[in-house]
Amino acid sequence: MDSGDILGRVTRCSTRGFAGAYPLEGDRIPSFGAFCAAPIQGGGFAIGVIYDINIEDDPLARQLAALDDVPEEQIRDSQSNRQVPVEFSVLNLGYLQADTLYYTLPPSPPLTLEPIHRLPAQDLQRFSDNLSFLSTIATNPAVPVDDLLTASIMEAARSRPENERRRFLSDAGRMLARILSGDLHRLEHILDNLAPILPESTTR
Amino acid sequence: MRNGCSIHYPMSLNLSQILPQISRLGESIAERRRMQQEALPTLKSHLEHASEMEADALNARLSKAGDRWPGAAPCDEPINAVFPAPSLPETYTIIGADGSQIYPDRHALAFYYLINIGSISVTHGSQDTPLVNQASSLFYTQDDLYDQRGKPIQPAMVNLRRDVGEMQALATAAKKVTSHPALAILDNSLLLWMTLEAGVGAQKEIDLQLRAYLEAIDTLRDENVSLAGFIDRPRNANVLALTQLAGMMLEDITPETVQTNFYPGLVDYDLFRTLIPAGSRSARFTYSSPLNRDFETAGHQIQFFYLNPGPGKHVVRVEIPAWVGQQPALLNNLHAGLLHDCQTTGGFPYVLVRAHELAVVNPHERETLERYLERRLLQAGDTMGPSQKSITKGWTQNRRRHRL
Amino acid sequence: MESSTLDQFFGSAGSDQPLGFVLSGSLSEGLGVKLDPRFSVEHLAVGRYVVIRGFQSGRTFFGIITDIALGASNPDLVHRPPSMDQPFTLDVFRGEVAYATLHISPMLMLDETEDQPRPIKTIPSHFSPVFEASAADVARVFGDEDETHFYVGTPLDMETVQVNLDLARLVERSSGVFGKTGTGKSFITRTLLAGIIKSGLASSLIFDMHNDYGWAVKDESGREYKGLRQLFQDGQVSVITLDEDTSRARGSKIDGTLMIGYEEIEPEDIEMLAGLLGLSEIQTGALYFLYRRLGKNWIARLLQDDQEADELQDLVDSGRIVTGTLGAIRRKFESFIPRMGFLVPGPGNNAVEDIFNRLRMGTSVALEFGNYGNTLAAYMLVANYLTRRIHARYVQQKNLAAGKKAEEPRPLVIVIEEAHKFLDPAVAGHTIFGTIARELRKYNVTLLIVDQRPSGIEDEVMSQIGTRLTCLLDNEADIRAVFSGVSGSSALREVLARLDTRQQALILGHAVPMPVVVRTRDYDQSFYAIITGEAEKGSGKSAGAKDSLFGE
Repeated sequence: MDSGDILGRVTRCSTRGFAGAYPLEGDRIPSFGAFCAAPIQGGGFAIGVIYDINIEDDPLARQLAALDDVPEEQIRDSQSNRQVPVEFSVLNLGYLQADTLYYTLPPSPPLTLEPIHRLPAQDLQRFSDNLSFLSTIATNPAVPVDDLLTASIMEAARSRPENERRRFLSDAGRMLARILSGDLHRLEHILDNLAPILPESTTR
Repeated sequence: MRNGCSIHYPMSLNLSQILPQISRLGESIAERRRMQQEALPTLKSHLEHASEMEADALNARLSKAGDRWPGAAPCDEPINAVFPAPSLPETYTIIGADGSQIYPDRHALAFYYLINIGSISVTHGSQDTPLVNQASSLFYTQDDLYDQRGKPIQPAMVNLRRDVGEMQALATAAKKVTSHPALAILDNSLLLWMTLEAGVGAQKEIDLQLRAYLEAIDTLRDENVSLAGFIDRPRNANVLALTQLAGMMLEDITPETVQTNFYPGLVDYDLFRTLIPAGSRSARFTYSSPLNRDFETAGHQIQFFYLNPGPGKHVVRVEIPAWVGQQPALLNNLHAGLLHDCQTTGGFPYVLVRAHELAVVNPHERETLERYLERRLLQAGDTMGPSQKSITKGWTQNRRRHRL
Repeated sequence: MESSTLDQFFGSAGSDQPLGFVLSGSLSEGLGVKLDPRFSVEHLAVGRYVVIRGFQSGRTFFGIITDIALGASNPDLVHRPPSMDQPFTLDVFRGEVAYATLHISPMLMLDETEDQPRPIKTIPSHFSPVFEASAADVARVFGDEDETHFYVGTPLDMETVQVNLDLARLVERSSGVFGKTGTGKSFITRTLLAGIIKSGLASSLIFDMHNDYGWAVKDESGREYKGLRQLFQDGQVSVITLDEDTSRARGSKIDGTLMIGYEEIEPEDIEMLAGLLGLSEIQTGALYFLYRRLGKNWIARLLQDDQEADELQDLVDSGRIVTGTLGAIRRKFESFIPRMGFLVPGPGNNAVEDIFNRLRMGTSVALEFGNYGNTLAAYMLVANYLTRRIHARYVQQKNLAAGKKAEEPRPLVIVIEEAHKFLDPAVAGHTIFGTIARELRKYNVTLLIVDQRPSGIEDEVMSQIGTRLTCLLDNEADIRAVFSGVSGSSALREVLARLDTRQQALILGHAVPMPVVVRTRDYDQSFYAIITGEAEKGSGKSAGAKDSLFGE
């Protein structure tokens, strides 16, 4: 787990999820639907998915945005260099303890300022072998469920070798179909959005 | 924000007690405004007078005013001259540097201090992404923390080191400049005033720092960079002192009489904001202080002028080494470049806004640093932790709760 | 090949993958199974066997797929189907939201400790996995071929498995071969008869209407097949003809000629033909009167010229019979009896005794009708005439055997075609065939009825049919009739309605442990070789495909 990139550090937390912050610079930008892990008290890691990314209030950016004529160099500075703090929120989906994965909320939240790692591909594959995390997402009223389902499935699919992706996507699609069998419109919408990442889609 | 954070501010200010004072404060400000308005015509005529005075006569008065007189001396420009904005070069580089610090705290869990310097280099007209740099230094050794006499280091010494660090950051950035003309701006006076405050027991260290500072300026001069210190809302009255001096009878002038202020409550700013239109600058002046003579010895006598960066009636004080003032190209590029860099940020240089942002250590970062430190100390077996006083302060700080 | 696009990526699921899981059902209605989306519904077929591994016990259940349906977990699907141009979405929908269900009729169960499956008394529990039955599973159900178990064909899609009919049970009760015209009933019947004859379990009396059984037979394409007499050349089969000329012309080897003397015909023999001859009830009743008054010469008398028929005139004059009735009877006799060359004046050639003796000795008799087969009345007359008399002898011998005064009569299977003519509800109550069907094996005589219209057969008779071999039927009433009296078999209706038109038959009943759709055994040279015993000399065993090194 330590090999993953550090996305930021825990700023606030509960057992249901946690928030992390990081300066907006460089290329380690957390993405919506990315899986991450943070150490929890008593050993192990909480594993969750990013469902919200928030760039905090920034007067300078607002000042520049209000002007007609801003030098290109200053715009580039703001986009590439500025240390605008970004806060991202993570929904807990499970935890790892003593090398066993659990798909329930962790027994204790991560500690403040613990590093938040992007879940390495290998761990993400292992975690997403069990698709029950999709129901955890689907049943949470506080997150943008449909987009998060799509993004997290894509993320988990990309962690797999190309020749395993289709099978994973199909399994995930079936799990979704079970979860969303009552709302075919939503189900179809999500599935349609997943289709483009199918490896070299062989359309019939 | 979806997951709202609730912030609670404790209220410890007893507003009702100070309300009468607040209204009296308002009245006294209004009173001062009125006085200024009334005094302005007099000030202007005194400035006229001073500018018309023969150079010899003025010099005679200056020499009689003595070492402790806090006034300005004219350079090679008429005292009341106003220079409009020169044309802006198509391409120019502007560098800004700023610093911040964490002072040593006896109550913290460890005795240390930190200096953080941020710098930015923008090449206008290049469309390149500006270069930024941050340099953080943690000071924790015996030599860092105690002076020659074994006394704990004073905050002024931290400031001194910070100021030196800022100048060095400019020099470092200047060496990387690929596109001239180039400007280097500090959010500070160029005169290293802190050398006067950093304590008696630290003279050796002060000399060391001063030398480093001047060496950094050498570098900037060698790189042909227009160095300037940018002082917003200046409170100096050096030029007013000069006009007062010019108005005095030669025989009345003694080191004692020149200490009397004829214009109490008024500063140079009050005069020049009415004189200088947006984009223009005043004449250059110099200080006649002993510190400036040290700088002069090193080849870097400090001069200054007032500049209206626009918009509106508003001036800032710009300090420059004499070698900038005496080279019209360096001076004009500085004048035009500064104006340009202030445009998007409402009269304050963009590079300084950004350098400050890069330098500042926010409370969150400070907390992170201390958590780390705490962990390291625990691992090293030091379980002393912060003092109880420091802990109790933390109890009453704001709390946010993470909510989904 | 049509298959789910998912199959292209995962490959078709192997037989170790369950087809699905039991989700609903009852013992009487059968089981509902949701098809695993990895299996293509388009590759399944009704009539296939499945094995269900009991979820809670080690019990294995055997069942048969009796229906396949498309279902949806959400009723909205039909109102709002997904867009057809997103293959991935369609694939996911196809497995979960829209899925296939199988209806399975459970048939047998097998405990871990048992060898032989037994009829089911319960059903597998929820979520028991359902597998396509392997050849070994099916072979275990149908057992091995031996003296009394006769290989009739292979289950659909399982060429290596033999379905072996229990011949002892087949002849124990009446049985039937059904199917619409042209579906191969007579081939199956001939195959069965060959099995029965070879087993020596029973003699057969075959009323061979269309010359299908005795000697060389031609199918529609003109191909010639061997008759039973050719397969059994050592006297196990006799051919008796009614039409010697035709039989000789066909080149049949004949063991005798049937001639029925006028004197041997009784009114009961004629009564069966009332419908065909157009005899009214009054006229039929008059037959008995005439027989009593005229004696065994009654036919001859009725056929005499008018001037010689004083005796008849007396009957009219005495008012015992009206002129019209007598005239009608005479007219109808004249138009029928003289045309039937096998009906001869006088006492005939005592064919009944001859046939009975042959049957008693273990020789089966194929009664070849020659051209008379085209005359239904002739067929019915002869079948009825012989069966009544031979049945009476069996009854007599059975009674003697009960008193230890004679041997048990050898079991007899009487084969009749157009059986619904003999067994329709109007006549079945008082014909000999109805009697035989109902009395089961009391007198060791059973029927093998061959018919294309089972719905025309009286229900009670039908329910006594122990084993039914049914080729394709497409008339609803006929399909219903085939299943009457067989509990839990209505689910097989879909199977039956979808048989191929040739060489496929659904076998259910007494002689098979569970219903089975077979591709019937080829009636060809290799079959001849097995029946004539030539193959046995080589392999020492029956030539079931599973023992063949080279396949068929």
